[in-house]
Amino acid sequence: VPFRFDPPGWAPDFDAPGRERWHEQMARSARSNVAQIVEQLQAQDPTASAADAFYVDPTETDIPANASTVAVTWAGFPKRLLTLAGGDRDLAHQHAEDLGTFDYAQGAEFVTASGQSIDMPSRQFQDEYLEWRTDRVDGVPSRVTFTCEAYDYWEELFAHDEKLVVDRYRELLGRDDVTADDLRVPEDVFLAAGGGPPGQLAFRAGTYNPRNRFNTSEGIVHLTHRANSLGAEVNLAAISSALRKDAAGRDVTGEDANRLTCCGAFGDPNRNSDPTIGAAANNVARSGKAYTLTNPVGLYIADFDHEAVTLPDGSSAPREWWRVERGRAQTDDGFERIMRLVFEVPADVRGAGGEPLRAGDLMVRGAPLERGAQLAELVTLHLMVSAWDAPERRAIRAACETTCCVGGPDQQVLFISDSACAAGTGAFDDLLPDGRGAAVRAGGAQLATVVAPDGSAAQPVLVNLELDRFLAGGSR
Amino acid sequence: MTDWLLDGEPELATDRIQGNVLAGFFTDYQLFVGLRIADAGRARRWLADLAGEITTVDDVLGHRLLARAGEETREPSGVWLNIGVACSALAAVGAPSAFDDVAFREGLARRFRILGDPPSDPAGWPAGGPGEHRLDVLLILAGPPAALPARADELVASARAGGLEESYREPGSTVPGRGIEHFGFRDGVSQPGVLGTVGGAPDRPITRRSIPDERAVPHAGPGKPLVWPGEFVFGYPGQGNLPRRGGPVSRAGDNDETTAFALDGSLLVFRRLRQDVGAFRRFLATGTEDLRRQGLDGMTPERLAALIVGRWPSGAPVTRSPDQDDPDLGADRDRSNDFDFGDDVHGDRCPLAAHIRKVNPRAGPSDVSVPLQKRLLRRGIPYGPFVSENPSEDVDRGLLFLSYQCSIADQFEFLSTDWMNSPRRPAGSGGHDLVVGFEGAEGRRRDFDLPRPGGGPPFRVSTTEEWVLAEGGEYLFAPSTAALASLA
Repeated sequence: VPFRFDPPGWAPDFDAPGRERWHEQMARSARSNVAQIVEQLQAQDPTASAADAFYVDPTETDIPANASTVAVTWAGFPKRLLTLAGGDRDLAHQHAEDLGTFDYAQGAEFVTASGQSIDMPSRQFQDEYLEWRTDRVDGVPSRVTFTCEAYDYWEELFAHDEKLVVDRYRELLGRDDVTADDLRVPEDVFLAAGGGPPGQLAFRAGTYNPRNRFNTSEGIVHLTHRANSLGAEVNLAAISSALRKDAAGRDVTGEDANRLTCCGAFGDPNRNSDPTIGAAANNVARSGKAYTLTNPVGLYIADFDHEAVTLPDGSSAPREWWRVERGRAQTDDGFERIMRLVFEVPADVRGAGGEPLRAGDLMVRGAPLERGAQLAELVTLHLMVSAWDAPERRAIRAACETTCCVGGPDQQVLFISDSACAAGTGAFDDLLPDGRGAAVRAGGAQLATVVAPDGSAAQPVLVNLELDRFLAGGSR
Repeated sequence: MTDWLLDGEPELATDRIQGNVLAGFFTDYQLFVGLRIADAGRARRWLADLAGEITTVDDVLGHRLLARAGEETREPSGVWLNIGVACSALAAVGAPSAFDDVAFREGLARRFRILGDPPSDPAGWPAGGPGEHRLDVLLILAGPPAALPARADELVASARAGGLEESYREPGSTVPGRGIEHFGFRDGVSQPGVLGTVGGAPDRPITRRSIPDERAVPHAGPGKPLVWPGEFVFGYPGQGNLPRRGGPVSRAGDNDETTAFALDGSLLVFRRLRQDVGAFRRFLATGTEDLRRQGLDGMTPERLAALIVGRWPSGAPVTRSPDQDDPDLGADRDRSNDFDFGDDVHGDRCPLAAHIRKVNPRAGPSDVSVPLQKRLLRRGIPYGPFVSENPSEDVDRGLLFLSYQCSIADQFEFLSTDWMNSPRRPAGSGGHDLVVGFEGAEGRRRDFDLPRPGGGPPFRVSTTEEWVLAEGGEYLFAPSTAALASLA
């Protein structure tokens, strides 16, 4: 039976032609990922081919029956936000649900062709492939909803069957006023730098708008942060398979996941997710194993520490108060594929005084539940790879593509760069040969540079600031 | 020795940091004494007066230099003294107590459920809790066994005059085990090294370096990464995103007064962990049978125990000696620690849930990008008779667990709740830490997986039995001698 890519979590959304469409989309990305790896290896050894890549396109190569599944797990609360907050967890919690355009660039704005500002925010700090929203009644948390469904899946779904997407929104949000037009980009939307005229086209008129109000200010259906795409995740899980060496020819390994990420430029070294996924994939390759992402390819909620949420009497909140609304908690291979998770106290549960118990009446690890961020700290995510021994593959080691410079609070924010860093800001002095010069790139492949109208790139200042200073600046 | 230094390693105030924090007492005999405050006003003065009697890092290092030169015995001839104070006790005596760390503020009796501990009533704990064994203050005495009780009596007498009552006393000893804990395994093999130099000696690193500086993550020796001191002592750069560049300076509280008071201090976790050797052995027997039934013909109780720990009794790691113990390897401190799991992603050589992988994933799979932010300085010592002295399985024996760190919530509790007690973290799967992990959920079932050679679902042993019983302790603050003296 030829290999087929199933929709994430085996979601029963697409009809048969739609499933075919999804398969084709994923197959294209597998092909292009292999091509990208081969290109990197060929820079080292011109004879390198797909047969040397530890990442395998499953539509080309059969997965052996004895392949075993490895889960790669990471914490769902955004590490970069914590870094921006200077390690102040309360400050990070306070702003974790803020909507904005920080995922594009500091001060980025969306404008129409005529230059009129248009509000298309994302959950701008939630960049670990987990986003959440806290619903409140009279200011008190009543429900926290988590999703890890990538927006590119929903884009494909909308392009294939608008009505189905509208139905899903209505079901998941429990409201019947969602229309297809609400979910569409009304007119061409451009990026603009700090009040400037339109630059690069960001969203094409008539296509699906992942940052629509039902998925941002009024509800949550799937991921919105620019970096939270399935394509990006698959790409980094694939290209991080390349074995790496520094300028002196020494191995660069997952021993320091951030260093490997800065060397391979395969993600954002400030997150938990990207370095963790990259280091894990690289470790698999270093073990001499070939691998591919396990079908159905996706990002999933792996677990939540439900015992950490306690009732006023000190006992743990029942696991059943965490409801899986999309994906599967029970699977044949034992690895959870949860895609939408809701925490809510059932309506019939009463407090000691007989009044309805609210989520906000509970404690999380000893502190009153005031924000969804506290629950996000309990959630872990994972993706799975199928791996098998591949002794025939040559261990070609590619040179580093990039390095990192530091900035931000306590010089803790890492910027991927392919040039020398400014004095005193080099994170690693041995990844690239000395004197290699080129323009500084914005911090990671997932970040668009804001292009000014004259075609020049705005300064990549994206995360080079302290959170409270950024917020005080009034930038949305 | 090749004592290189990184740029920016801070000079540590080793003349005021308590000795057990950074140098570690590591004596064969120790005595723990608990005190309960009866009169807060007088207790404050007594604590201040004690400052001059506290053994500092410099004291311990000075002794070690003499011992190395042959001018002193390995064990100290006098009694060393360190102290920890609970948050509620700091508040009671009017000392700054606005610490950020929620775990420290609440204390162990309000946190033990979070740790998944077997149900117990803190009022009945033999150490700590709200009852008669309350630990407002913990004194750690280390030195010659004959001198310890007399020194304890002297301190208790002075404490009584100073408004404190003795609430707990328990001796710890590594003899005759000498580094072997009660389940029979060498303990404390792997400790992180600490970056920074000894006070007044800018060329002398606090952790001596036995290998050249040529790893991406600086290492003092094989398997001994160097961690920035702010992970363990307040007021120094902590472990940030880059191993060669210090991260944010560790602060105790938002409140300046508390942060100043906490400078050069550390948070101390004390847990009395009773070990039921009989239950552990019974599990090894039934678990071995279970695994044999599943097709693992060569399984033995000794091998299963080594896989659960990740090391053989001698300390030889299963990842380097897969089939049997290798006492020569175990005795070699460098070789027995020279491995990193980076090429063992399935746990083929060392199971993913082996204790040593759970608490220290090294370069192997981990769900945080900087696992060095999750290290502790462990200073525990066994209590009770060793099996070799008293083979009975019913006696009270175990570990007086101590760890120093700057965040109990993000370090000690994280390791317990997020990694040891989780069936899939940090490595993605593999089961629970069967040595000291708990499952807090109803049924308390813990699993342990061994990969099936050639692939397929893993072999699995499960148990609802528990052989470590958490019987109290406390979360404490180990102030600098200067902070203690400031209470005068």
